[in-house]
Amino acid sequence: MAKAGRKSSSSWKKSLKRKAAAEEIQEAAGAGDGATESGVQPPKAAAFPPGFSISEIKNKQRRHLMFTRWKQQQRKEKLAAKKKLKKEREALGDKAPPKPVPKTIDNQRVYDETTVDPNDEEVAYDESTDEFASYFNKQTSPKILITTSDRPHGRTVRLCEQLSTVIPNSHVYYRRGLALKKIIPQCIAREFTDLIVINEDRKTPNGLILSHLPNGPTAHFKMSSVRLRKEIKRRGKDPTEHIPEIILNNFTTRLGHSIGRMFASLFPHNPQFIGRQVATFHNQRDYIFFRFHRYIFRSEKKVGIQELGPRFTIKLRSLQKGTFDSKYGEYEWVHKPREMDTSRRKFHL
Amino acid sequence: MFCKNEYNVTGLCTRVNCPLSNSVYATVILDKGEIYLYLKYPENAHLPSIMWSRTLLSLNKQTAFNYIYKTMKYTHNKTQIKKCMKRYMRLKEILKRTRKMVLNKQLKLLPVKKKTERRDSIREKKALKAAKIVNNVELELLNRLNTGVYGNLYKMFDKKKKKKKSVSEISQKDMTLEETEDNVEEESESKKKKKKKKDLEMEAIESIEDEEDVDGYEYDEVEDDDEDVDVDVDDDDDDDDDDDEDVDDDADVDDDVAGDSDNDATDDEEDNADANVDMEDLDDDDSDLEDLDEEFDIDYDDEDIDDGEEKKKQKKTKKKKRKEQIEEYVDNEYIKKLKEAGKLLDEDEEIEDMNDKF
Repeated sequence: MAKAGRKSSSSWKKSLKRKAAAEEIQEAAGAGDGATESGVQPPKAAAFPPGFSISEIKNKQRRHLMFTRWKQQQRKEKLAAKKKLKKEREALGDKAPPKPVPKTIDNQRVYDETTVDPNDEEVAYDESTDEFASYFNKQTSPKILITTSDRPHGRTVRLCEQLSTVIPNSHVYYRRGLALKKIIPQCIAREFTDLIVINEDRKTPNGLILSHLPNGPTAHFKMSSVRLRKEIKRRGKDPTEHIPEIILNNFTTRLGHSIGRMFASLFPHNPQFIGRQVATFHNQRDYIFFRFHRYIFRSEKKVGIQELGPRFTIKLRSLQKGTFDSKYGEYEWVHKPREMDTSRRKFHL
Repeated sequence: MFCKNEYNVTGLCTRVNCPLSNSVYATVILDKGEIYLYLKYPENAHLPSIMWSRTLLSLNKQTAFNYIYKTMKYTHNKTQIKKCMKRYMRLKEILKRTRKMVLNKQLKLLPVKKKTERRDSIREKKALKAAKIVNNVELELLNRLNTGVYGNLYKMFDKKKKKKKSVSEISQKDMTLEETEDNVEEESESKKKKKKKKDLEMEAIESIEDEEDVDGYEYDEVEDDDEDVDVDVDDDDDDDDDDDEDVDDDADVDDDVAGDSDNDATDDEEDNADANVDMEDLDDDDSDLEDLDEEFDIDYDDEDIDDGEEKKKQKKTKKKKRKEQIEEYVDNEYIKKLKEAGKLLDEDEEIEDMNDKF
C-alpha cells in the first residue's frame, strides 16, 4: 500500500510538473495570443500573464513548486550577472572602476551634527575649561573609589576586585545601606577624584555609575556581557601593577568626546610602557566595549595581543551635570528609547 | 473582621471598637504628618459636621499622653484611653519610618521591557561583530609604535631598517667610516641584536625620519584613528613633551617623533668624538637593552641567547633571516680584542635616562 502510495505520489508530482509545463505553454500561448503587439515571443518561455504572481496559485504544492523553480531561476540569473561583472573587470584590468563599497550600518550612519572636528577651536576651548581640565593639565592624579549597590552578590564583588586591579590607585569599599549622597561628601573630603558604583540586579552586575568627584559629571551606564577573568578563554596571567595605556576608539560626537575624557581621566597620566598593558574603550554603535590586554611587538608590523582582566560592554543611559543626584540633577543627555531607538542608523556617541 | 471606618481606633470590627455604634468615642489619626486626637460626644450626634472634634497633639510623648488623659479622663473608658495612646505610639513609629525612607537612598525600580532588552542584546552582538576590537587595538598600537610614542623601547625594530639603509649609504661614504661601521655592526649584533648604533643612526637619521614621517602620514589616513589620536593625544603628547624637555633640541624636530629627537642631541655630542670612542656609548646601550631583554622576555634570536626561549615558528623564520645577515657582519676576533681592551663594559647611564623619560 505504502509503496503504491509512494509511487502514486511521485507520479503525481511528475504529473504536476507536466501539468505545470503544460499550463505554462498554454499560458504563454494565451499571452502570445493576447499580446501579439509585443512581437516575437518564444512559445515555451515561462511567461505568465501580466499581473499574475505565484502567490495566487491556490494549490499549495503547486505553489511551492513554482516558487522553488522561480527561486532557482533567480539564483542562476544572479550568478550569471556576477560572472559577467567579474569578466568585465578582468577584461578592463587597471581601468576597471573601483569595487563598490558594501553598505554597512556604520557606513550609512546618519550624520551627526555634533561630530567633533579635530581642529575645532570651540571644542578645544571647552575642553581646556571643563571639569577634566585639571586632570589633563596634570594637576590632579586620579584616585578612584569602587563600590556596589547594597548587598552585592559574588559576581559583583569579584568584578569590583578585578576592576580595582585594572584601574590603578583604586579602592573598593562595600556599602552597608549608605546613601550615595552621603558617601560623596566623604569621598571629596578624602580626595577621591572618581566614584564608580556597580549596580546589581538578580546577582549580576547590570549598571555602572561613573561620577567625577569634585563637582564633575555623572554618567549612568547599562552594563551587559560581563566576563570575569576566569571566564575569558585563552587569557594571560593576572595584570601587573604597571599603569596601563588607554585606547579610546570611535568617540566622535561631542557627547562621545566628553565620555571619552571621563574614561581617560580614570587612569593616571603616565602610562608605564614597560608594563605593556592597555585598556581599551571601543565605541561601536553606541555600545562601549571595555577590554584589557597585554601586548607585545613581534615586529614593526605585528603585535601580539593577550586578553587579561575583565571585559564588559556598557551603554550610556544618561549624562548628568553635577555629582550624583538623580532627582534634582541637571541632565545633559538622557537616552529616550522611544525617540532615539527608532532609527537603526542614528547613533549618539 | 476589620472595620473600614476611618475613625476606628484598633481597626477591628467589634461592638466596642465601632465608632458608629458608640456615642462616646475617641481616636488618634495621622493627617499629613500631624497627629490629631479626634473626640466624639453625644451632644453633637445630630450635627455630623461637628460631631468629631479634633485637636493637634504634640510629637512629645509625655505632653501628648498627658493631654489625652486629661481630656478623656472623665468622659471615656480607661481602655479607650489606652487604645488611643497605643495608636499614638504606632503613628509616631510610622512617621519615623517614612522619614528614614525619604532621607535614605530611594531605590528606583525600573521595569525590564522584554522587547527592548532583546533588541538591545541583539544589537550589541552585531556591534561586537562589526567592532573588530582586537584588530583595531592592534592597529592603534602599531600606529603608536610608528609615531614614536614608545620612544627608546622598541629600537630593535628600527634597526633592521637602519642596517639596510646604512648598507646602501656605506657604499657612498669613506672606507674608514665603513670599516668602523662594520665593526660596530659586528660587535653589536654578536652581543645582542638591539644595540644602538649611534654612528649609523646619525647617518640614517634623515632616512629614518623620512620613513617615520611617511609612516605617520599613512597612518593618519585611517579615519578612526584621527579622532582617537585627538582624544588620547593628551596622553601621548605629554609623554612626547617630556622627552623633548629632557633634550635640548632644534625646533625642527617633530613632537611626535620623540625617539629621533634624542638621537639628534646625541649626534651633536658625538660629531666631535672619534668613531672608536663611541664604543663606550654603545656599551651603555648594551646594558640598557639587557635590562629591556629581561623585562620583555623577547628573544632576539642570536647565537648567544638560549634556544629554549624560542617557541614560535615566526621567530624561527626570523632567526633564519637574521642569521643570514649576521653571517655577513660577525667578526668574533674583533669582539675578543675589544673585550681584552676592556672596552665592552656595562654602564647604567642609559637606564636612568629612560626612567626620566617615563
